[in-house]
Amino acid sequence: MVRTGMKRARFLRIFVALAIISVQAGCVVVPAYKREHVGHATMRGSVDPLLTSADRKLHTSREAASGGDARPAGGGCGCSN
Amino acid sequence: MRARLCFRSRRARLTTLVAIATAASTLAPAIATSQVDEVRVRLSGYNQHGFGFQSRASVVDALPLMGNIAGSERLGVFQALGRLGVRQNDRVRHSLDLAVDIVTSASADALDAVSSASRVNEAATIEGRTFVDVTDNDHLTFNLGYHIEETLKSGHGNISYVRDLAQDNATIGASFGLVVDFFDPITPYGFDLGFVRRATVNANLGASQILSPTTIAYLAYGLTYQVGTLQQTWNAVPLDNFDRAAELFPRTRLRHAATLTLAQRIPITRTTLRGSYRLYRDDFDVTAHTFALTAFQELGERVVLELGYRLHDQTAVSFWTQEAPSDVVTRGAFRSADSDLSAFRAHQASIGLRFVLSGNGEARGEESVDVRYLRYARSTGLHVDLFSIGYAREF
Repeated sequence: MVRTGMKRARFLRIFVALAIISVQAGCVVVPAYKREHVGHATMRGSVDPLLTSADRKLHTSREAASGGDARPAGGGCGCSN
Repeated sequence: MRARLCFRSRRARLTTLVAIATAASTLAPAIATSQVDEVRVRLSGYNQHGFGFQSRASVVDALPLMGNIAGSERLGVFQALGRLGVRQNDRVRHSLDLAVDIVTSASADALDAVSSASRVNEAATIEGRTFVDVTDNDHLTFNLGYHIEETLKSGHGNISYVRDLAQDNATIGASFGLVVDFFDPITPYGFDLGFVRRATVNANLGASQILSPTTIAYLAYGLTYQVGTLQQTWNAVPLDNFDRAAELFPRTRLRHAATLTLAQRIPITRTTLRGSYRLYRDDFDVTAHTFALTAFQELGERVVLELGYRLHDQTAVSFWTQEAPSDVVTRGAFRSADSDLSAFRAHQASIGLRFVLSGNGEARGEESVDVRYLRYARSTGLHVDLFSIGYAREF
């Protein structure tokens, strides 16, 4: 039980550290004329919204975990996940 | 009384006509000046095999594999998805999504097990969104949707706000959503006990940040609270006296999920790599870790190869069992034998090809066709093969 708690805390620490590193690294401002590559279609949050939607349905109806994608975790389907 | 009813009816009719005329006169100029912004169509077919303790279907077939209590989770799904996007003016866009699922199930559905009444189920979802650029840096999105399937009717709504920061190098956003479900609580023996409901409230925070001319990071956190009948009432729980009981869940569930995504463009090789990690935790004692990696490789000017891998690892809900004591019903103890809520690890691999018919692969103005194959396999033995073909045109 204690080991599980420690493991969980370690994962949380790693996650928070990664988030902080991301934000820290982001202090550099990239001017608009240098954003050609980040504007590429494959760099978007969702490359194809219908594909994202189909994948989401596949996973939410087969797994106990969902959310973290600006959508509700659960509800809206005839399943108990 | 009759005259009064008649008057009321006339007044209602008049009111309706005035409302329609007002709406039409308001919307007509908007519709006349609108232009199609986006068209997408996707057809998918799934084929699922597996066995789960919640299922009462084809138990005899399952005997050699899982003992005498796991039923079939065999399932076939045909899914059609479509999106039409319309730009009303420089600041307002709308989109309408339509999804239709046709499910052939010999599966975990009580009606199939008892009467074969639902061997073919249909489900449909319609969802409308409006995107408003309030200023150059402030964006609002509203969406409303309705979903209907064999035993369930569901409505949902969402509002989200995004703010651009640091000369469009970063965004922060928040959203709030509500889902209300009404469904028939059918028991594992096929009895329909009337209608029950559940509500899901959801709040999200998100941010994105350009880290370099070729790198973007996305960070999102979602909090979801559910209340009501959360179990799928027709799922069976095997008992130690060889009988079956219905699932029973707590009436509330609090769920947290946080996702970090990094996207890296490698211009020399014309490759994009996207990696993400999601940490999930809820008060049913489920902890899950999900890693996903996708590579997009341009092969010449018109073809993009997509390779994906996803790993999902989850613990079981605290009340999961494959065989509950027979007094579990009289004690009113929580229980579930649903394989989706058990502890498992799932691997998913996908391969896709996108053919660019016109446009140059930049943010908009592209027309493309894609094909994709996906294999999803769980350590519980369940596996899914998915084929998909899509068409997209952005204007």
